Amino acid sequence: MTEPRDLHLTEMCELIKKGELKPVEIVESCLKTFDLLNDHLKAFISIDKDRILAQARSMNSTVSAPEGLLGGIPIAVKDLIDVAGAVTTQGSSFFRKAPPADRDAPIVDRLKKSGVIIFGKTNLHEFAWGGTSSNPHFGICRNPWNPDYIPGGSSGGSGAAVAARMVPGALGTDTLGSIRLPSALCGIVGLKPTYGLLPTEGIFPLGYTLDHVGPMTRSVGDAKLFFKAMLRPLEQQKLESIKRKKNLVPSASKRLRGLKIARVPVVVQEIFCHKTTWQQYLKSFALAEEEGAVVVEEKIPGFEAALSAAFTMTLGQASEIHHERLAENPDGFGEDVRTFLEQGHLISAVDYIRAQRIRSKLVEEAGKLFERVDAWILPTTPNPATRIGEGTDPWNAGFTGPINLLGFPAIAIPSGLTEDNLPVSVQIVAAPHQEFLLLNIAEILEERLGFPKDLPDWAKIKLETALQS
Amino acid sequence: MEKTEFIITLGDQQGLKIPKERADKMAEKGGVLEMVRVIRTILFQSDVTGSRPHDDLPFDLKEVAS
Repeated sequence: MTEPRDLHLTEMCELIKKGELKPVEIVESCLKTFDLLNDHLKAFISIDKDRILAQARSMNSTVSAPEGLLGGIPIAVKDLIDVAGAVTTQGSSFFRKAPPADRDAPIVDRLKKSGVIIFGKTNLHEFAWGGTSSNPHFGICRNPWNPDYIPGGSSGGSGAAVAARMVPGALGTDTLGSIRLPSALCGIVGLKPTYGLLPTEGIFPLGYTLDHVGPMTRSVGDAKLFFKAMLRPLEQQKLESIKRKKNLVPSASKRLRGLKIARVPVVVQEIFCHKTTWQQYLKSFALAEEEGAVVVEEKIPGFEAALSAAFTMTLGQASEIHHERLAENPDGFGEDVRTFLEQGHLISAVDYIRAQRIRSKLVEEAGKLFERVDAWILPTTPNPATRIGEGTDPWNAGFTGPINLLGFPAIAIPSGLTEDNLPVSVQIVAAPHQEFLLLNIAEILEERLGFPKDLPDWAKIKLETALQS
Repeated sequence: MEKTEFIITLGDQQGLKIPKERADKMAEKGGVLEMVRVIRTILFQSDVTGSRPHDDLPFDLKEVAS
């Protein structure tokens, strides 16, 4: 029989509803995986096994399947997001001994109402301000494809936990790419919805006006279901009505017929990209054309300043948020986060206002682009995971940070593996509130790109060895 | 004023104590001071004619969906 952890979130839901799988079987399977892998991967900061098991057993005792879209499904939450009764450490020494949150963040509340079991709080780059998730306070988070490599960040624990099948889905947050970058490096799917669509209250900010929350899963279908559970019914209805307005005439072999997909040159071009990233990026256009889409070369005037504007705003906002902590106890921060926060104090109000004006201009220009096209494909990040200790290049956010500046929805999907067996990814962007169109395009490209469905190598070997012993 | 001294003074004005060795590192070639200068250069090469500073984004689901 298939180990429950190997099922996709959508499959788990289906089997629970049919009465063929119990929530406790899923939770036990996930806990077994956690026990075998987490010591090394450091994907989780905290987990309450007794509570999770008790909750899963109580769901088993009901006659019918647990109610809600995600009834009985274990979901992990990045430890920047409040879950009532648990400490929100933010991956920081400052909050390690903070009192537990007295209420759920609204997004957690929505998920609980959809029936999820909160499995635990995941590791992250300290205060979400960085891309390695090599956390100096809670351990170095590792990539399940190869634990000598970073999982990306800042939602690295969520990425590693989902890729290693400790959970079928996790919540992440994204300010310059923190959902999409770890998703890319861990070979999973990450959705950053439209700015402001999902509530960010109860989530510790990194950059107030660039922060997003969204799902990280092993497939686009899983992300779609997870995303639906995060929406209020009226919001879902409205978003789906937008999708239906698109006059698509797809056929079995041309599922993207009627769509126009843009290829827009951006600052980080072929020269900066790993050869597999670039090759799979080009392949995604070829596949989109085979599916009937029309690919067009487009431009967004001034887009070359987008990453600098997004970075300026994040530097300024994060340094303001942490100003008192930095002034009073600078040694409480890890070295890289401290440097970012000091750097933010070198940004002037003049720089910040210029970044805001660039943002206004680019949102307007991107809006014009999406009057002509339906989607835009670009790599998620130029390079696969780097070795732990090598750090990350700010240009690695060169394809994601600009999309936070725009606030448009974007999804990262695995597109292939390098010769070293490390995942690469493409990102698809759509107009505001076109999440369902985005997910539909992503689902087709995911199928055509054919990313391996097996467990990441290292995790597979580790689990098979445990099974034999 | 040399770069290290500039960083220490700027930090001090904002209530931050930046030790000399950290300020030296921030001031060196490829350090954060240079990164800020590069970012600033890119920002101010951009044509922002007609745009106003705007922070929060204006997306409203009701307006889009109606």
